[in-house]
Amino acid sequence: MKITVEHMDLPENEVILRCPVLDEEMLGVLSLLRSGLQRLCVWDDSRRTTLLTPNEVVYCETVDDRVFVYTGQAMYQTALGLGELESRYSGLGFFRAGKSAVVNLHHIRSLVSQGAGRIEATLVTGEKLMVSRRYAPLLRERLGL
Amino acid sequence: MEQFNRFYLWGVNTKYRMGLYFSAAVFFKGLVNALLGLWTVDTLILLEMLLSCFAFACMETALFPHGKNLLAEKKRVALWVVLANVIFLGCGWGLHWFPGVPLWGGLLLVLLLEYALAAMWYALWLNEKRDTVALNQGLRRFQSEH
Repeated sequence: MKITVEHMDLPENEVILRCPVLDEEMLGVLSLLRSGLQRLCVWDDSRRTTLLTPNEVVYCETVDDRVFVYTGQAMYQTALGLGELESRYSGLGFFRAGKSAVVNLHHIRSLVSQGAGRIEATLVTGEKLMVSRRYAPLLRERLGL
Repeated sequence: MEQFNRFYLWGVNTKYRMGLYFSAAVFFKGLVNALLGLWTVDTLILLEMLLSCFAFACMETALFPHGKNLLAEKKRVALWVVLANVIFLGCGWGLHWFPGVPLWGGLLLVLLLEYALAAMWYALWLNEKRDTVALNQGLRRFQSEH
C-alpha cells in the first residue's frame, strides 16, 4: 500500500482512501480511522485531557449540568451531553438508564428486576444504578427480551 | 380534566382488584354452602362481600399506588396483611357470612385466607425472580454478541 502525506493549506485534516475495491487491508485502515474517531475526549480535575475508548467507560452521569464519565479507575468530565453520548456510542453498548445516566452495557455485572417496572444494574465496579421505569422497557428490547 | 382522569384510572384499577377479591369470596361462600348442602347464596351476603371487597381494594390502591415496588415496602405489606385480616375476618364473623360452619371449618377458612395472602406475595416474588433470570440471560447474550 502506498502512503502519501500531503501538506496543504486546509481548514481541517482530511483523509482520502483510494482503492479499486474495499479489500481486507483497506477495511483495516478504515476500522482504525473509525476507532480513532470514536474516542471520547475527556478531562480530569487538573484539566488534563485524555482520549478514552468507549469500551473503557463504565457509565456517565450528569450532575449540576456537568457530564461526568466514570471508568473503573478514574472520573472525568466531557463536553458531550448524555443524549450525544448515547447516540454516538449506542452501537458500542451505551444505553440511557435514566434522565441523568448512560451506562455501558458491557460493564454491567448483573441485573435485578425491582418491581414497578424498574431494573437495578450492578456495575463491574460494584456500584448500583437504577434503570428507571421509562427506560427499562427499552433495555429489555435492547437485550432482545 | 387531569383530576377526572386520575380519578377514572384509580377507579379502573380499584375495580380490577375488587373483582379479584370478590370472585374469591363468592367461590369460598359457594363452596362452603355446597358442602353444607345449600344450593343458594343470600343476596345480602353477596352485597356485603362486594362492599367489603371494594373497601379493601380502595385501601390496597392507597397502600400500593402505581409505581411502588410492592416487595420492597415491608411496612405497607404488613399493614396490608392486617387490613385484610381485619376486614375479611371481621366481616365474615360479624356479618355471619358462613352460618352453620363448625369451629374447625372457620379455622380452616382463616388458614385459607392467610395462605391466599401469602400466595399473592409469593407469586410477585416468583415473577421478579424469573424476570431477573431472563434479564441476566439477555445481558450475557448481548455482551457476548456485541
